[in-house]
Amino acid sequence: MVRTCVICNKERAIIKRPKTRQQACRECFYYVFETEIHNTIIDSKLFNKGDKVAIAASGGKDSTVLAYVLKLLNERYQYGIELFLLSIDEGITGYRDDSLETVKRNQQQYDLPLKIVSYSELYGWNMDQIVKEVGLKNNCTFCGVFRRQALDRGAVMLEVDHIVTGHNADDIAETVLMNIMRGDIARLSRCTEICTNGDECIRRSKPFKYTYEKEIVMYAYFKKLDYFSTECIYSPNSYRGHVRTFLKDLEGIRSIAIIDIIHSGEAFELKKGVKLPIQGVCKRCGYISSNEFCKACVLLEGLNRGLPKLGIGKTNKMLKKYGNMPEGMATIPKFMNKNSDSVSEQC
Amino acid sequence: MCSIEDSPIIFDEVKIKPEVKICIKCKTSTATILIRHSTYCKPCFQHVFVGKFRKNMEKYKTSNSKIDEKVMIGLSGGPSSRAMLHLLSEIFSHELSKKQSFTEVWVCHIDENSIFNLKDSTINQVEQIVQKYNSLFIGLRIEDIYSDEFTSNMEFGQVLKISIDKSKQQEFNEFNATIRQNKELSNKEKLQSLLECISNLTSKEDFVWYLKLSLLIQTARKKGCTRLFLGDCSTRLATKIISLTSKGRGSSLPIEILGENNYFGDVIISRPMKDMISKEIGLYNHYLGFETVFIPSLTSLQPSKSSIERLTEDFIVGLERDYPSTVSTIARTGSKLTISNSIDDENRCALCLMPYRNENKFFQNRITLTKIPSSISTTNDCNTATNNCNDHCNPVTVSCSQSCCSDCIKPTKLDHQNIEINNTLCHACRVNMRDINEIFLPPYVAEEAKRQNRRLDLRKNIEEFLIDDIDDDQ
Repeated sequence: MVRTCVICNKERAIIKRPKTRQQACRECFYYVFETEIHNTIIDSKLFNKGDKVAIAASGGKDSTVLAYVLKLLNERYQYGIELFLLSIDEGITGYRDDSLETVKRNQQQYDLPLKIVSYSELYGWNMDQIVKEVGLKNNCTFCGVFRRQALDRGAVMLEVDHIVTGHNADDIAETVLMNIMRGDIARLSRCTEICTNGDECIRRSKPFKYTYEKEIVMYAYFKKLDYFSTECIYSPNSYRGHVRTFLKDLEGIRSIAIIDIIHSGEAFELKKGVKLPIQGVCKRCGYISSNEFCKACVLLEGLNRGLPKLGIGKTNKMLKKYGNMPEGMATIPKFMNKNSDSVSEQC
Repeated sequence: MCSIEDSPIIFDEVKIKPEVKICIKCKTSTATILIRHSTYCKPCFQHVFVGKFRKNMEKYKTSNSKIDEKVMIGLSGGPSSRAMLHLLSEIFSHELSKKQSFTEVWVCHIDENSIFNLKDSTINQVEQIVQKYNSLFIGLRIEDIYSDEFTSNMEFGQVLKISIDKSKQQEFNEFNATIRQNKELSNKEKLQSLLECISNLTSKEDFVWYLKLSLLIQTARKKGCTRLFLGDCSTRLATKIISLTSKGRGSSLPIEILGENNYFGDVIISRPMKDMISKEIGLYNHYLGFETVFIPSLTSLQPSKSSIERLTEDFIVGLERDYPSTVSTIARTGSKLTISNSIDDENRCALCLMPYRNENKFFQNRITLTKIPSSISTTNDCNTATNNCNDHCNPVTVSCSQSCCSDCIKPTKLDHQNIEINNTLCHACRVNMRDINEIFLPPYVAEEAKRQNRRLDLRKNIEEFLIDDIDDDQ
């Protein structure tokens, strides 16, 4: 029996949409997939005409599809934005070097300017060296903290107004659950925001906020997009793994659960009097931080002093034992955001 | 994906079995009990357990200085509510000697056996337990929610019929709703037909729970009780926090998990067991030799992936085994949340009684397209979100408000009346409605839907004189 697409009622259905479980044809799937992202962008007023937008490109499926779709929507709906690719080279042999090749091909295919910022040029350490130092237990902390800064610094170098990342609905739902489960109230109230915009920080947003991971894979598959699909060789921690399995099971029971988790996350409101960290600026490198020194500086100090656990466990205790971090000893170049004034106006 | 959100989780390798097993409380006796990371001897464990309960009860007293309060205890007969009954009774009888604040104590049990078509009733078993205490007992059956007396005016006799036209292939907001008489079926048959028409266990469980909650609150009101004690323990609360989140009930979550809240106005909900994990309760009941009643659930003997509630329970219990701080951390996160101030008092779901956010009606249609709008024009697409939604994403409400709603007030036939249901159901309940074909909801839902429709009609009449903040933005 030939099944027809329930959206157009004409063409032959070839997929079952993971989000709605509707049977759809290829063209209708492309259309709804792209339009949902467009709606998300328009409804949250993500872009202004003339914005320079950097796509955080890893070469993986999310960022590859993001680059493709943003370029397409920018032309279709005339957002009038200028797109760039921004890649971070963490220095992971056998993983990042290969995926960066994909990004370089994407640059050719989509004809977008590309900037690569590497950990070794910024911090003097690459991930291979860090793993050698700290082992496989907390390496993801280093990588995550360093990448966030690296993206902002790369954006400053490119002089862009805005960074978009490929975080999809599954990632955000997973983060909501993670933050509940580890009691991270401050991040819980932030993690569902589609666009973060501190005064000191470059606007950062997630156009895939409501896009299902499976549909991104599906889109990349049918569009035959060129992406890199190997998991990082330094495996992620197991607690998050449990949460991810749980989320996939939830999706299996009821596909709307992913959006419902995000929806719930947005509705959470904190009691008055719950203490939240106050955001300030790192005394050493000038990057936003809720402590005296930003996490990257503490982690880096730990690496340089041969105390890799410094930024992982009880930092204050460690500092008491091994001596404080001296001020003004810039190991990471000073963070200067030229856009900060204009950014805050736009928000 | 490892991202910045991954701040390190350090689970120090906990020594499950310390070398010297000494009670950490009295520091003399040999410990026989391990709760999370702490070891206790039996007397100290019981002391700590009762102490936690007392501490929570003290909070209620200071935060609410009502004198002569009538209270109701919700007793399912399960371990947690069983222990709660005992602990509360001890406090009540202790306070009788002093000048006490609780004048009348009701214990309410709701028998759910008709869901499973079981002949036996749990009411007798539970009543026997309650007889040991100096409390008044009321035993109800879950189907009683269909009787007229459990409505606000206590005689509203009509039910709400909701049906979905599956052929339209629409996912959201496609309900035909009518208010009508339904005298042919008994209450039990009505409940059973409701459950038969829900195709999915997650939705079924949700329906049953909110019918039960409504029944409890209505009963408390009828008896003039101003406080309802529920026996949710912290393991249960942690499960609820995750499952409610997964069902899109984030905005009403605090009402269902906080130790005390007065969202229902005249009936305050208290959860004095909120700081005990199920293991503690099990041990306590065991030591005191308490019998509990077996209450089957819809997912009993079902696989883990049969419903969201069930999956979450297995997930939390499983994690707690490897990471013993899971439950307490989740419960603590939940306790820091509060009901939003921005929630309009009018926006209460007629079915689950929970508040919902005003803006959520169209967001689904924007981010999940289930059909291509017939007239796609780029100019239209560039309009603001609200315009766009009204234009083509939600044709049903639009057409409804134009054509039928003005007639809604006058019943078209004598026995039934069309009603607009979109504005009276919350997001999560509308999601549940996708798993039905045709259902009859109890009179209390019909009554509330009717009331809200009347409010809406009134609002329409005076609409041009209302100042809307959204207009200012445009």
